[in-house]
Amino acid sequence: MTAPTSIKVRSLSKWFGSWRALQGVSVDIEGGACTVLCGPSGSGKSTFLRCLNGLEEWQTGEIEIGGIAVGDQPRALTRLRRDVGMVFQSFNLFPHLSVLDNVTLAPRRLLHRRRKDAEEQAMRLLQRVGVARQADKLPAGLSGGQKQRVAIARALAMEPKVLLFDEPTSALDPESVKEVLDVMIELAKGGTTMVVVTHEMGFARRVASRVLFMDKGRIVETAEPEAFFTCPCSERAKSFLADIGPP
Amino acid sequence: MHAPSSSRLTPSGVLATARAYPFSTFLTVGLLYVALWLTWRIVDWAVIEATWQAGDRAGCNPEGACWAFILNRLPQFTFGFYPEAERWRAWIVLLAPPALLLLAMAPDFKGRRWIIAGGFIAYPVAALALLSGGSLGLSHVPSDQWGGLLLTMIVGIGAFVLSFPLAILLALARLSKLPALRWLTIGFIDFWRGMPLVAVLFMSVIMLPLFLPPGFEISRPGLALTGLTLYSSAYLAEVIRGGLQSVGRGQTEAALALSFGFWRTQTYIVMPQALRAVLPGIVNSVIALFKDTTYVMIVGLFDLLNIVTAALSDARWLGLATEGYVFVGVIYWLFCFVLSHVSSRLEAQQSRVVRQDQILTGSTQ
Amino acid sequence: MIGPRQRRAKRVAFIQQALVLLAVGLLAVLIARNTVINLQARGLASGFDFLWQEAGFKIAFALIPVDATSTYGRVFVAGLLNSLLIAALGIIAATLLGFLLGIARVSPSPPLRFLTRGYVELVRNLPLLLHLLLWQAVILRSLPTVKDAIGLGGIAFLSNRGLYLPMPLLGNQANLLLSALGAAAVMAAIAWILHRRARSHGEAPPLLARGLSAGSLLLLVLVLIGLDWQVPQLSGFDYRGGLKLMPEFVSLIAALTLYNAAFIAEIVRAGIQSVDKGQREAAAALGLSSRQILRLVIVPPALRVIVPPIANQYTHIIKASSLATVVGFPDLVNVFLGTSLNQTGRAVEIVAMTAAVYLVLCAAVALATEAFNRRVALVER
Ligand SMILES: Nc1ncnc2c1ncn2[C@@H]1O[C@H](COP(=O)(O)OP(=O)(O)O)[C@@H](O)[C@H]1O
Ligand SMILES: [Mg+2]
Repeated sequence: MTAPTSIKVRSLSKWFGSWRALQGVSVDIEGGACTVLCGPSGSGKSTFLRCLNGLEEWQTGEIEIGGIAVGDQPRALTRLRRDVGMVFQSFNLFPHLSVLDNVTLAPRRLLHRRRKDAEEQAMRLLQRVGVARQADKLPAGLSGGQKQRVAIARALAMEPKVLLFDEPTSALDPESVKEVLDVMIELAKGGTTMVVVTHEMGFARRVASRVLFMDKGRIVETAEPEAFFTCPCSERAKSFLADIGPP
Repeated sequence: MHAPSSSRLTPSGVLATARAYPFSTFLTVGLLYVALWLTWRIVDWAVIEATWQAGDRAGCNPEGACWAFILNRLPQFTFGFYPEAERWRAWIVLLAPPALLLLAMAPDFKGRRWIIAGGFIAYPVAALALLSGGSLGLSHVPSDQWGGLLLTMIVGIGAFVLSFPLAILLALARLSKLPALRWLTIGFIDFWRGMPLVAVLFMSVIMLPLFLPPGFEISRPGLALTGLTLYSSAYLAEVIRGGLQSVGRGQTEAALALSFGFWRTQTYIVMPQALRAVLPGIVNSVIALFKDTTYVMIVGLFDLLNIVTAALSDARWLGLATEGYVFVGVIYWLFCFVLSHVSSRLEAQQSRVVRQDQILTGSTQ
Repeated sequence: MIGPRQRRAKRVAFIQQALVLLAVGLLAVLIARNTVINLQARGLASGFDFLWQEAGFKIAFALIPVDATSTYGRVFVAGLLNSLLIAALGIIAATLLGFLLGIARVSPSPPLRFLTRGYVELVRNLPLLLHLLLWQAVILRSLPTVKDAIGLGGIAFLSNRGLYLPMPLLGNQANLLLSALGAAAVMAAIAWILHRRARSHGEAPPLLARGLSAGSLLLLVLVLIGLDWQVPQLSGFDYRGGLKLMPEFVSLIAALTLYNAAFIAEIVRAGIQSVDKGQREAAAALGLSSRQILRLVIVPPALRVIVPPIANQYTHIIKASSLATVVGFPDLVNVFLGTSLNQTGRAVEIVAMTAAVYLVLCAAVALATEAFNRRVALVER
């Protein structure tokens, strides 16, 4: 197996008009491990995550994924996104395609896999996330937890080296949260680089190798999960943890 | 507005209602009488007193419709002046679209994609080659001999098939991030939407030949088709733009994150959803376009309506305008009525799907 | 804030737009070049000087004096006025009929609903041009000759030569008429202001307001009666005096009205049905009278739904007025884009002027709708 893909971010700044959402973020994200990103709402977590695969334009600073700079040339960006999967809070499944077609679309159209091969791979992935029986349904017929697991399978179908999760469980009921987290825990064991924006502190504690705490567009704390939860250094992190309750 | 209560349906209920609302009862009875009388007059004229076989006007019962006129002229109304020996070619061209459509609508038919692609690319080319001939051992039939229903279909289908891809490009350009492209497109669309079709057709016959390089010529049907295509593409573009705007940003982002580029995102993710969302609007545009094909009369083409109009001045069949126009009307009416029902069925279906979706997901998506 | 990436993106966008403009510009140049060559090859002149030249043809119906010695400029104006007349009459008549039909579409009487629905389905699924030809051929050809014209109350007559209406003879009464109209307008305006003020204070309108509105109405009626009406009289082979409307004109207005009324009826029906039934019931529960419910609860939100598509329909009527050309009524397209172009060969100039007229008219409707939408949006907040 090739070496796991690490991410390097240097003084990343992003403005929305005159509002500065990211204020010179610098961080190294370890390859092959799961990094959890948390912080209060509006602190810039999503913006940061979306910069990583170039969905968001930024103004200054650099990002390197696996040693390759995230450029702004459309073609290079498209190439890079092959290796960087993303899972959204609102699933964003393609409603006009069946579950199976949602998963096979990208491999078939972008990697030019044959339909049969793509479907075999998709069925394996759907099995893995536990929604194989729903393969022929349309997304509208699935529960929230099932939708999010299909979205994960869809991202996995491109065999990405890095997986980005933007609050994957925030739109779900408690039962579905567990289903999705179980899938993510399995994934984390597999050795893909994962960056997860989440408030599920139990998940962070179990699988994260590191926790990044963001506030006002800055990463204000970087720590091992255990250390972060037992004694956060910054006042902001303390009050944040107090607000969301014990893990 | 109010559902009639069941008591009104009993005889005593009807009487009570009649006493309580004398005016509306009077109106209702009057209207019913008018409706029945009209129906009777129409049936009497069109069926009971009608003449189906006659050599000329004098052979027809003056009290009823003279359908013999229509039957006598039917081949001409269908094919115009297309030579009789070659009409099998026209038959193929006329029957191919419904056949393709039926095939495409068959459930679980795998080749639907090919049919649609074939319908939009292969059919127009093949139809044109077949009709005009001049190769493959087919004799050449100049386009001024095409007419009647055949010409109506050619112009209608041709304008739709040509304007659809153009409309998609226009809709995309209309939503482009590049201001220059956007404003040019807005100008183009608003120009054609602001022009009367009568003027558009005049212009295409007068101006297009001037715009073309010297020595380059397009036949009259070609000129009219060009005008109609540009005109209807502007309307279609606005319909499709509505569809594009109804597709959420999350869809594009998901596609981009999967490493789809712009064109593939549009082709596989955005367009299918956008077109589905505005399918009723597209069908309505088809209806409008089909009715608009009658305007080609203005530039001297003999479409169905014009060829019937011309036949009205035949000395042997004078004074049969009603029969002629009723015949044309029935054809247009059936087509438009069926399509408009398809359109409203689609609309109802869509709103049902949306509602179901909201119930199932708790409207999280 | 602009970073190096944004600068690059801007540069790329600039180049892309430059390329687009270049391509369109090249196409325009190519077309212009071809046009010039083609015009020369056909020996056609260019320029707008023809507008001051004598046109040399007569116009069968015009609102301004036009004869064979009039200039093309005058022909243009006459055609434009005719187009506007058709459009205005079509819009007014189609709106009136359309609202009636639309309300009938949701009436409590099933036969009425059924009949209007039948009308709408029958009419709107036929091409407008077919309507027009049908009216032209069947109805007007089957009308009696002038000698046996159908009298409408003895003051108007309908024959296969057209519709004859009484018309007031202005002449020496013009000043009196104008001042009476002005007085009526001022009275109506004052009454309206008083009405509005009373309503915004939640009071009944003062007696003065009612008096003024009744007075202005009375004045109008008096003026109408007192005018020197000229009733068409049969003399020889035709009626003299009054207003004679060509059969083409009558069938055109009939077709435009009947066809577009069906569409307007559907718009009105959708507008009325868009008002939530719950809202109506809530208003009734508040003890509002049915007239108040109509005015306060149903009409405002329904209008919000109705106006934009109706404006669209008006655009359609304006454009469809050019069908006059088909039946030979001298509208703008007929006399200018048709006859004038044929005679002068100034294709580019005439096409540009005609296009400009319709674009301006459509833009005016669009602007008016926009203004309405803005006002409605303001009220909503
Ligand atoms: N498209 C946008 N336009 C303007 N401001 C935005 C946009 N997206 C996010 N922001 C602002 O940037 C800040 C960070 O947003 P976000 O990254 O979504 O926060 P988080 O995901 O941590 O809740 C917020 O203050 C938000 O209002
Ligand atoms: Mg967020």
